[in-house]
Amino acid sequence: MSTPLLSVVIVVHQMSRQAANTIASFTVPYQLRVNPDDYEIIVVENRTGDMLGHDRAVSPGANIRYFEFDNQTRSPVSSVAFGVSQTSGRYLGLVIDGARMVTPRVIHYALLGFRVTDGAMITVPGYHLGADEQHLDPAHDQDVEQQMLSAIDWRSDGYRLFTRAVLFRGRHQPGYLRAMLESNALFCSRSAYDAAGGIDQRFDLPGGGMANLDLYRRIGELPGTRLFVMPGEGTFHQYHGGTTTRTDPGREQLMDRFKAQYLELRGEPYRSIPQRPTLLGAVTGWALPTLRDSADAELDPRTAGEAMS
Amino acid sequence: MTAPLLSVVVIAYNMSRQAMNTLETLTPRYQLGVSDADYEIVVVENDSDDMMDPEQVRALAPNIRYFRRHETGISPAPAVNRGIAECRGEVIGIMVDGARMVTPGVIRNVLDVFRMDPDALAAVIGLHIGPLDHGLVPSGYDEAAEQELLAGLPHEGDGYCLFDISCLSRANPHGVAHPMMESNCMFASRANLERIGGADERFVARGGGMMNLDIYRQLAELPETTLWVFPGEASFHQLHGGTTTQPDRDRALLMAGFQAEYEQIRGRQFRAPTPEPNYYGEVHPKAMPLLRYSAQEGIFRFNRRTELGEPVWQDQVTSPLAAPGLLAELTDRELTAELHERTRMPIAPSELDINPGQPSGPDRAAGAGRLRRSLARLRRIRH
Repeated sequence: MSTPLLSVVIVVHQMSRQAANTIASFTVPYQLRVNPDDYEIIVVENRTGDMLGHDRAVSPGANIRYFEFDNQTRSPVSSVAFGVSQTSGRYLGLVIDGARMVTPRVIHYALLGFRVTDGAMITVPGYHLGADEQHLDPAHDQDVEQQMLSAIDWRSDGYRLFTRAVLFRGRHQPGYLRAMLESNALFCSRSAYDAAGGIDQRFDLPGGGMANLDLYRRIGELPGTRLFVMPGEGTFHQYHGGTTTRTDPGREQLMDRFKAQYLELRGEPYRSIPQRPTLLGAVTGWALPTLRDSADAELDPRTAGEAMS
Repeated sequence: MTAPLLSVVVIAYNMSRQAMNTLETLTPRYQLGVSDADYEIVVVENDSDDMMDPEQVRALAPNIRYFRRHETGISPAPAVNRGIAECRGEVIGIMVDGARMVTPGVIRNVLDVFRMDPDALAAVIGLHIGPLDHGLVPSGYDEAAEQELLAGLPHEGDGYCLFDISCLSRANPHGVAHPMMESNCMFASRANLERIGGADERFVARGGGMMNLDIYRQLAELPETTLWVFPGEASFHQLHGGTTTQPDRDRALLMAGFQAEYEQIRGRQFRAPTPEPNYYGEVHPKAMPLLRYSAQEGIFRFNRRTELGEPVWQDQVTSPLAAPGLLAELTDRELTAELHERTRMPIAPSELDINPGQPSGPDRAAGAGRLRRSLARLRRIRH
């Protein structure tokens, strides 16, 4: 087997059902217009009580490599670093939360973006499955979600996921026509990842705290980085009782700890990068409402001038 | 000198002022993030009473080449083919109407797209400067009014402000998420242009009739072609004594003649090709209303096609039919109808504050200012 161009690292932690969907969503034939020899999928699964295991992890494709990893912390950063150390591709895709399924042309467009420039940092808008952002939707749980996923038969047309999801906006992200705050499928060259210093192992809070945002920003700030976004693709967060996506009164407190840690490590509050993204890719009808709403947000004086922080 | 990757053919006939504006927008000084080594501009001007000065053309940029030719016919097809023959690039752009200014990201986007996809068809949407499609211009809006509109803009260094004073045309009234009929600024590989035989010189009608639409359709229907459109860029038509943009009660008759010529040559009716558009490029804030409108129009079309069980695109990757129960939720007709009204383009003539008997001379500037204010007001309403 020749060296693949792109290595996608997926970190899995106590979410066997969700991770099985996520891994399947990264493989051919669900992924369209892409040759499986052009990329590999590195699954790093932390040892927990709910393991996916080697056999189920690699069954969707011949381009999957599986590693069981002993991560004693509640932060995925060491798992990410380990996964990256196992890659051989010139380009990286990082999925720090294995509960995020993707739409069918994410790999195709990522590979195209790298033909424009090695400095491409290619991002995918993040959606939450369900009627609202999951931490705001107490009715959403694993059972509801499983029924929903089987009802839309997502494996036969992954773009239907848009019909059962909302764009994650949080407080500071009115759409994807400006730089988002982070990307849960983040593509960059291996050399850019290394130049940015890789994922910072000091982010040791549950879920990694702001490690993913921090990495995104540091790569984004490298000279030569060009920001891309796929307006018609998405990552879709499956419910798994994760750190920031559950309805939990302690969530706000935890977010404050994340911010405090970021401030401590970087000496300033987090803000996104001041680059206008380059759109890349088709937008199916299911995803057009989010495109319209993102344009709306840029036209609305209340959000258009909002500081990106 | 090594050949550039990209050559852009610009055809000019009897429009020296407009064509000079167009060429200026194509120069490396105006285009962002590219240099004169990346591309060349091949100008082919047919003889007329209103010619450009070749020295002035060449002085615009080092990567402009100018060719003057004598044309006895009334179609630009031979001029297009002459331009293609002069191109040194592997990628060729065709601007059949030299009156179209472009935004500053067009060349960079084209170079990027062909790095990704050598079989791309890259199409820039065409807008019309002023309040209405140039086939429908209200009295009081003429070339002089347009010149003042352009002069009042700081478009040196900010070519995107042309979005502020322009509207969609009847050729592509629904924006970039709908199939386009044609593009007056389109790009394909030299190999693919050769495969379709360049411009078909059997189109001999005025302005080439449907020759440009024919090129677009043939390129779009090649099996390898992927369509790329730039939601943040556009070409902007300036008023000139052009063929289909004159207010003309006989326009329908003219079009029927064009269609008859097309059918005679191709043996079928013209239909817009429907490859799925792939988007590329940054979206400047000035282009945001067009993108918003396009997305909304695309939602309408998607819902309509899906309800009818018809494919949305000729090469679509999604399933043509929705899973049961999905459509009802996505289609909220009342809401979309209301949004449609709020965003409708082009601007209706009755809404414009234009004095029908607009005087000439210094008063024109006031008229242009009034027009600009009206457009700004309408845009506020639309948003």
